[in-house]
Parts: sequence; C-alpha cells; structure tokens
Amino acid sequence: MDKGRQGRGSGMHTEAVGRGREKRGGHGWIFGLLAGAVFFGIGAARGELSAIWQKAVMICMECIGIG
Amino acid sequence: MRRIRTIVQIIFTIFTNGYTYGYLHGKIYQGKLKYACVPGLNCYSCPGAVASCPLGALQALLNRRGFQVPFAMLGFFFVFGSIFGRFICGWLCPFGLVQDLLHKIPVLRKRKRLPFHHILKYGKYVVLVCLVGMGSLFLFGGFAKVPAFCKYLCPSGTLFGALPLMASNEALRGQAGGLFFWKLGILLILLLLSVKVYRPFCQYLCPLGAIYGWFNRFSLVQVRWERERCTSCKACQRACPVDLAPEEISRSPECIRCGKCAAVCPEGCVHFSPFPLQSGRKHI
Ligand code: SF4
Ligand code: SF4
Repeated sequence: MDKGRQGRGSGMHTEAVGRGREKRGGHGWIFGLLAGAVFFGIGAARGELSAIWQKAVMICMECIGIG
Repeated sequence: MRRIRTIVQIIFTIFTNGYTYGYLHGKIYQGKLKYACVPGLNCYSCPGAVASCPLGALQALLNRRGFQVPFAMLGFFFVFGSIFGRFICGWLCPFGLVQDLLHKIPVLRKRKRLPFHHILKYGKYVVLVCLVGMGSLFLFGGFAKVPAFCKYLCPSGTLFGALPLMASNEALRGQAGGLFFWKLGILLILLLLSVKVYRPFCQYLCPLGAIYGWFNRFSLVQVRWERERCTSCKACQRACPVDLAPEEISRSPECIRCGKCAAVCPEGCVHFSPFPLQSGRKHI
C-alpha cells in the first residue's frame, strides 16, 4: 500500500504555512519591479552607471588577488 | 528538466563570457556592455566577461568617497530579484554551474548540507553585511576604500578572473603573492567541497544568494506547492538538492528554483509559476 497516497492531504504540519502565505505573495513583484525602476533611474541620473563602467573596464586587482 | 537546466546554464555562461580576444591576450572587455550587470556572480575581470558583476558593481559604488546610497544597484537587485528571485542562482549563475558540475562527479557519498546547516546558512548574510557592506564602506587600502568581498573571499574572481588572466599575462603572474594564494586556497576548498556537498558556496557564503533569497517570497517566478493535493510522500524533498520540505518550497530563501521537486511530484502539485516549464507529471 502506498503510504503517501493513503495520507492524501495529510500534510498536517504544513497546513498553517501553506495556503495563507502563498496567497500573500501575489503581486508583490510588481511593486518590487516599480521600486527597482525608480531606484535605477535615480542611480543612472546620478552617474552611477559610469562609476560602475569605469571600475569594470580596468582589471580589478582586488578581484584577482593582487591588489 | 535537469538537462534543460544544465543546457541553459552552459549557454548563458558562454554567452556572458564569450569575449574570446580577452582569453587569448590576457585582457578584459572594455566596451559599452559593461555599463550593465549580469544577474549572477560573474567576475568583471574575467577576460571573457561582456558585462559587469553585480556584487563588484555594488562594492564599486560603496567604495566612493563618503557614503552614497548605491541607487543603481538597489534598482538592479529589485528589478532582477522581483522577477526571478533565486531562479537566477539555479539557472543563470556561472559559479552555480561550476558547483553543480562538480557535484555530479560520481565519487564520495553525496551530502545535501553541511553539519550545523541551521547555523551555517546564515553565513551568507554575515558576508553580505560584514564584507560587502561594512567592509566596503570602512576598509581602507592606502587612501582608497577596498571592495572587501572581492578582495578577501570571492572565488569567482579567482576562478574566472585571476586564473585565466594569469595564464596568458606574464606580468600579472609575477605579481601573485600572499593574498592571491589565500584566495586560491578558498577557491580550492570550495571546489573540493562541492564534489561532496551541494553548492557549499551558494548555501553558506554567497551574498548575492542572500539578496535574491529575500525576493523569493514574492518574485514573479515561483515554484508553487499546492497543499490541498499533497499526499506528503516527500518525493519532492528527497529530490531537492537543498533538502526543502514541501511547505518551505514557495517562500524559502534557500530554494534556487531548480525545478527538481516539480519534476518528481507524482501528484503534480509542485509546479513552476507563472511559466509552466514543467508542472509535475500529471501536467505534462
Ligand atoms: S548563491 Fe551566488 S554563486 Fe550561488 S548561484 Fe546564487 S549568485 Fe551564484
Ligand atoms: S524546492 Fe524544488 S525548486 Fe527549490 S531547490 Fe528544492 S528541488 Fe529545487
């Protein structure tokens, strides 16, 4: 007899966790995405992308364990 | 599913590290694509890298004079994290791929976790706060702040940056000293450990995993578990490389969205959402 099948829906310890929490996740990602776009825009306007580029196009001595 | 994931990982790694001229001449790419970051841990001093590393970029911004909020990287993490969460770790990170491949080597009895996992798993948050955050803000080398995570820990920098660069650049080889051998030691320990334990760097040390893990709870890409149809057979937990119980799957910061649980669930109650990459046996 397959024990797992016998106990269909018997994940008792899981019940409180499962449903409530999963539903709450809903559309949070949209707010995260919008916040990210705003942050990114502010950073770009402040010239941060250039700062990143300047660091990225030189060999980073710390990264390779020399600096 | 496993094969699809490995293929995606390999293609993405080649695609984002495809600057062959760099490998041949011991140089790095200096074009405009480096204004952008790749999502996973990928040293920008890798001779093949065509874009920037998000952790390197974050530290570069923190290393500026005074304290300035690194808005661009906050934005980057919110955008990528909100869409993908740790799907990035499972599918799009070159250093994750390296550890996955090493773990496939059929020697030693495999372990999913290290002993004291419940404590050690917080190591990545410690690294994020102490090395990436405070280290980059307060550690000084001469008069300049240093990117402390890159300098003292990052194994991607050693593997994808230092080793190929030094292989083709004699001047750099001559400068290797104590710090290089420290980082080389860390890399070797992690690589050897990966053969036995599943992704030790990702589970215990990677600050990027810590960041993306926070987004797992509400990211667009999810692996969902349907409690109503679950028979508690635990097939998903046995298949899960990081040993997550079914009720932990959806929200756990440890889940790398590899999809192995979805592939084995006999009831089809674990599945990717919103993209039906593989929705369990009953949904195929
Ligand atoms: S935890 Fe870090 S190294 Fe591991 S896959 Fe995620 S970003 Fe890459
Ligand atoms: S819970 Fe599923 S998707 Fe997440 S790591 Fe485990 S097997 Fe992979």
